[in-house]
Amino acid sequence: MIDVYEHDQPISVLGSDCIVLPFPPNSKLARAFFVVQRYTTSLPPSEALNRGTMFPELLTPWPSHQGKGM
Amino acid sequence: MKINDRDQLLDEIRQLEFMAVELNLYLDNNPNDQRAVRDYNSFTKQLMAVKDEYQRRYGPLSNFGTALSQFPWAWINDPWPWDID
Repeated sequence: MIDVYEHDQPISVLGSDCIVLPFPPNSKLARAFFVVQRYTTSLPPSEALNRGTMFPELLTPWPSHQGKGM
Repeated sequence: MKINDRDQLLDEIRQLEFMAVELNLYLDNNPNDQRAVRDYNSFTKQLMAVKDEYQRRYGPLSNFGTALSQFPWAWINDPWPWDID
C-alpha cells in the first residue's frame, strides 16, 4: 500500500499564500467509479445527432432542455 | 421537410458521420464488441455511399485525398459544403 500523502500538515499551494487545512486522519484520496457501458441499442441517426448521443443510456438532458430541439 | 435533395444529402452525411464518431469513441474502449464493429462498418459504408452520391451530384466535400474531382477542378465552385444552410 503506497501512502505518502501527508494528511496532517497544512499544505501551501505552490506560488500562492493559500493554505489548505489538513484533512481528518486516514482520509482517502478521491476515487472515481463507473459502470461499464454495454452497447445494446441506438437512437436513429437523425435523433442521435439532434440529442448529442446515439446511446439512449447516456441521454441525460438538462431539465430546461427537455422537450426542445426535437 | 427538406428544401431540396442537396440539403437532405448533407443532413444524412452529418447524421451518419455522427454515428460513426459515436461508435468510434465507444469502440476505443470496447474494441471487442462485435455488434458495435458491425454497426460501425454498416454506418461507414452508408456514409461512403451518401458522400459518393453527394460528390457526384454537387462536387467535393473536402479538398484533398478524399474525393475525385470533375474537370475543371471543382473545389473552387460555390457553394462550399459549410456555406449551405
